[in-house]
Amino acid sequence: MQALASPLPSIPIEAFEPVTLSAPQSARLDFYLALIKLTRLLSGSVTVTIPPCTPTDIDPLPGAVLLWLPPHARPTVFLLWRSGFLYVLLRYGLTAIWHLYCFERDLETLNLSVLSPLGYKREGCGFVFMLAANPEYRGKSYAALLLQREIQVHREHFPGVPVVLDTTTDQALRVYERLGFRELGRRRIEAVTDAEGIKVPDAERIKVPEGFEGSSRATSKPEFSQRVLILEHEPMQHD
Amino acid sequence: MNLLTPRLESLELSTFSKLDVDLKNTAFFLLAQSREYKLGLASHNLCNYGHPSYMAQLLSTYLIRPFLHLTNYSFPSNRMTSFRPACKDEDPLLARILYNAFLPVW
Repeated sequence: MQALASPLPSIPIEAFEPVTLSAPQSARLDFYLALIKLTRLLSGSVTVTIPPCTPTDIDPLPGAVLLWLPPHARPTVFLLWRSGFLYVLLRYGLTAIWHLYCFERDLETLNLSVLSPLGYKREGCGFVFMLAANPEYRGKSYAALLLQREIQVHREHFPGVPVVLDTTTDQALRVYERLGFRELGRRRIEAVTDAEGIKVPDAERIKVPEGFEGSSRATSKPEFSQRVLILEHEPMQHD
Repeated sequence: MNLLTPRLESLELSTFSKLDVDLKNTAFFLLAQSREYKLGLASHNLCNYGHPSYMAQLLSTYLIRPFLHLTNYSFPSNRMTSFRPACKDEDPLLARILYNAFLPVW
């Protein structure tokens, strides 16, 4: 969204002293803060995995974070404003707003095209808004465990209601598939960045044929696809 | 345990009047829990699962922990991975985790 010319540096997660952040870092941090606030305003849940204590780490940081939206949680302009999301977007600039709008519009189209034949609507399903593992605990499956637990809670409260999510990375796709999710469809993302979020020079962009995987304009290389996945209670019977 | 229960039960709403609603709910939930389960669990929850505010730490440190030796509670659940809702105070920390986790994608 920010179309960065170079990767953003990481920031210390547990900061005991004030950290000086660059403008893109600050904007990105505020973006995630707004998403967390928006989740709370939509009556969603913000849950974390707490790793086991060790003699060297008696108060471990969260190992994973999950932003979860229950069925029928739909953001309104008022809630976007209250969460600070609109302010963050304005800081990103008009181009970023346009990219985000295109991204959401195309994702909505994809959701409609893959969920409608199954008789579902995106708003009617549980939704994994964001799932992230703390890089300090990578490889411990804390994110997967957290999602598994939240799915259990969801099934108790909303029996028969599926869970949907969208993801871009192959690594995340493999994790979700291990948890029982199946891919319903994908589309190439119309972006001026590559899969890592780094701006791609015009000359390196490739042209995608009209109608190919839902995209109609120039897109970047390597392939940056958004996949929609679903987890149903009862596996669908296919002929 | 007998020494502790009356002390805990003597805490009334006024004790928590200056705390925010979330912490009040957490504290009362834990007090109720302590009657049913081990008191140590309440202390553990206050430290690890409850509101990580100063007041929660204070309650745990001065009200519950000094009496823990009277119970047979140790902190076994610390050895296991656990899950809990995050409180609002933790939002900046969680934002930094999300930032680093998705770096530099979008």
